[in-house]
Amino acid sequence: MLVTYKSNVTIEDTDRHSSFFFNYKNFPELFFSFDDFYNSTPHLPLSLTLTPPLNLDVDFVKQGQEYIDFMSVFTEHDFCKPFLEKIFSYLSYKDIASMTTVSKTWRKAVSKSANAQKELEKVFIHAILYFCHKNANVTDEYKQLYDKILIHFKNQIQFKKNDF
Amino acid sequence: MPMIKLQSSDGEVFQVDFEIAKASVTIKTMVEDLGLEEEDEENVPLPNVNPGILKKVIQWATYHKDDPPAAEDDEGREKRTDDISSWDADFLKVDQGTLFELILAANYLDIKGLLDVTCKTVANMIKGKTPEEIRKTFNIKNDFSAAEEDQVRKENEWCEEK
Repeated sequence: MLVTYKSNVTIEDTDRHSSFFFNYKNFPELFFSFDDFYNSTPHLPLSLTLTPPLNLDVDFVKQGQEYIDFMSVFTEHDFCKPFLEKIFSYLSYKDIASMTTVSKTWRKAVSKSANAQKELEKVFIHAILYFCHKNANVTDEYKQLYDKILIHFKNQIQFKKNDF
Repeated sequence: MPMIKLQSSDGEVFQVDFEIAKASVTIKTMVEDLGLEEEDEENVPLPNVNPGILKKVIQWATYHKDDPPAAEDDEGREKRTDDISSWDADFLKVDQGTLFELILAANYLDIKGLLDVTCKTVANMIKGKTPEEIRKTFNIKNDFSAAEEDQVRKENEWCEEK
């Protein structure tokens, strides 16, 4: 049995998925949003922000599967952003670029993450530095990237920006 | 040795050495704020943590009780994921649901070391993999149309190995 935040409505295990969808999807304004709560109380440390929201119950997140799409779940909830940023901080630009082609939600996760954007910008800035000042202090890896990035930019001009 | 009673979401009580429980900033703060002492019968309620996960967290904190405090995140420092100890790696050989719950618990209990190592484990599940391998790891459906996929592949040509 789970208890929703504001309503204190109890939902039996067997019904909770359907009940939640029925209640939240149809009448979202009646439900307390954990993200809204978190945003409205930024002074609270993350550890003191009460319980995780109903839809972060692990069984709900898993939807009967044995897998969890971590990046999608973390992207959907503002209070999970620190996890998202932490994970991105451990990844290289190659990993991040690869993530953009996994799914639309993962692409969104990359575009919303400050750390991911910073990592990608770093690569481009190094390449531009090398391009502008051939003797710039950049690593061989970045030097090799430089040609590819130029081609990339040329390609980008030909593709209309499509924000899907 | 002072002991503390931690009460999980379903009411199960775990008696833990306070020195171990102190790994959690949340518990430490609660104990200090509530002025709990050794002889107190009071339980520290942890309504967000189920007994299975609380047991795992206590196991982790017990093993790491003598570790120095986890270093603060330094933006300039390169972050590694290959420095997970073999004990932690074995400890985190769990299903994705448990790993997910451990991340939430580590955050709620404010245990930086555990949050770091669990997030590193997720990062390692992504690192060095192709998009298709990532999809397989997390059972993700490719929802790009053929044209969209072609475009994103072209966008990423600059960093592909050739």
